Amino acid sequence: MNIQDAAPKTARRRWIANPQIMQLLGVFVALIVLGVFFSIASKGRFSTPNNLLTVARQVSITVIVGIGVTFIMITGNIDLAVGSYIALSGIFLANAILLGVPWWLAVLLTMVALGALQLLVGAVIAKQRLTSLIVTLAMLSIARGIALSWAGGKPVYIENADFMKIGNGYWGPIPIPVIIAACALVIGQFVLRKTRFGRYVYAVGGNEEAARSSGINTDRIKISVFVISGCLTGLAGCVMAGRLFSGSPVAGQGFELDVVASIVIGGTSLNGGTGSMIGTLIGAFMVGAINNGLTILGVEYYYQLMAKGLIIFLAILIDRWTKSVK
Amino acid sequence: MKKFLAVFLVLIVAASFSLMAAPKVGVVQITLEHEYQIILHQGYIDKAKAMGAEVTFAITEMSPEKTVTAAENLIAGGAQAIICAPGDPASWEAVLAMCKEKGVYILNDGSPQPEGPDHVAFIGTKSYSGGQKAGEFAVKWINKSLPKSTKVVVAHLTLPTFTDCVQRNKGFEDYLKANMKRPYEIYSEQGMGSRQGGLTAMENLLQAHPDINVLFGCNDDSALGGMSAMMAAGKKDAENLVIGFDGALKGFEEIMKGGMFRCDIAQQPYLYAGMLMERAVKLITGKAKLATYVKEGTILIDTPVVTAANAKEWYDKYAKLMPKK
Repeated sequence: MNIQDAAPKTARRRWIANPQIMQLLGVFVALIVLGVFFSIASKGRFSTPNNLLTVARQVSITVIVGIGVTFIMITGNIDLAVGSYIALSGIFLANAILLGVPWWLAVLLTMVALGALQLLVGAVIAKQRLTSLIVTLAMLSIARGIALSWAGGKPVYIENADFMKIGNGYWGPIPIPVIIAACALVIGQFVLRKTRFGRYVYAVGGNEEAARSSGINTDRIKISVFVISGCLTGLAGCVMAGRLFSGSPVAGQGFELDVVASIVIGGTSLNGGTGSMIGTLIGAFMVGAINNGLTILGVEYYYQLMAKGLIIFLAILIDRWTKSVK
Repeated sequence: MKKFLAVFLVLIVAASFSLMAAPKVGVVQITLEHEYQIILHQGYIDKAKAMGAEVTFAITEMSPEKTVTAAENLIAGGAQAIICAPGDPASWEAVLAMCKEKGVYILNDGSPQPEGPDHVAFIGTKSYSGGQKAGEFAVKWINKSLPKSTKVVVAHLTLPTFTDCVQRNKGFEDYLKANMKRPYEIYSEQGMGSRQGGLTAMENLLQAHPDINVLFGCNDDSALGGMSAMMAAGKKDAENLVIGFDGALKGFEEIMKGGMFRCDIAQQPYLYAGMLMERAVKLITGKAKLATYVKEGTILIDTPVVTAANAKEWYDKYAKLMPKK
């Protein structure tokens, strides 16, 4: 065998031996197997184009938020307040529209507002060297309290037919939330994989000290990922408001669990340094498919909770195993 | 000719089988972590079985976005009618629009919403008048049991994000305002609708107002939690009153014990579930028209007042309805 024959085989071996790719592949295969199982068990109801598009629409909000939180988690941080931000975004948006702001401008302002809020949160975490877990846990309460008091505990209705299309409309056969999520995913993946900023995000998560020593402004990176997440969560909150015909101060409760589960299932490490947008997408579909499939099959609610918890547990075990292989 | 007849007969038989397929009803419930909801759940199962219908459930944990997701999933699963308890009025609107678009019947199981020609209106509890009945019991007990020299200090535990609870507290407060001839003070605190929440809220209230001697909880869980705080503070049974709302077995047990928990305003979830399921199945099978039920409008069912005189009877009745495992 000569050297030229060996090179492609070596490259293939490297590709197969890459734990991150293997985990992604593993999760993707698991999703396919799950889908086949649900299709057979539901006598085809699960795999109808209408139902698959329904699942896609349901997970689109998770994907949009998940893209932002993936950036945060790759840097070794976490954000537990996203559910509360969803509610706050909806209330902000609804009130802006009520004040006569054109809906498209209200969406942009909501994204800017949440980005600004997360700028503050990111700055506190980065500059004060505080643990993101604790800071975002505090923000979970603060943001929820603001949403509830601003709305008086009641939903703020949005009577704008054009805006409603964001949550319930279609472009051809594709739900608009799915298109929004797809655009966010493509941009997020490009930024993470093809830009210097993306490389710096991985570097900070992989080894912050080394990244700092090599001249990377790690504080700026950490603040930036929180800002990105804030803007995307603001956008997701607008899509949610479109689905619910209102800004709801109780929306998004427990949502952070679904988001983090999706991201971890998709291969992003809880300790930072690894992760991908594609993984988050697959993870979100996994969580969404489980919710949808178990409901279609009429599985008792208590068993549904157990199933979801077991999936998250398995995802964390796989995460640990992957790190040990590296 | 014979072949044609054979094929024709097979088609007729196949068509008749498809017509005979069991009607499928989807039910969106807010939680299964509460006795009321468990009895409601059992009521749906039992009535569906009795009518030969299939029923599937989705639980929303009182989340508005999960309400919408739940309805979508149930419709995707083949439900021809959705019985829905929305997390909030806005999610009701979203589910209503979805069912209209998909041609699926929708029935309201949550709380009174604006009526319309496109759905079966709410069937449930008269929450406001139930709250008033709690107020009536409180006033009678106060006048009978508390000496005129004793200060009357009333606490009520609320759950502002749940419309029914808001109505119960309002009914209670309004009755006191209109009928309490003695001076009294009244304080409220958010009890989260849970025992843990009720306990914490009442502990805090007792810190600020140690002479509270009457407690109304917007549901039994918060009332029972609040009662724990009163007992821990050394309050005597004879000098204090706790009233609950729901008709939980634990509430009836406490009444039978003869302590400070003396009254429970009972809901009748098994009855509502039966009525709603019957309507859903009749609509699907064509045995009733939507317009008939639309004309009925909102049906609010009265709340029995459970006290020491009838607690055993209600306990036995509801204990039978709890699912047997």
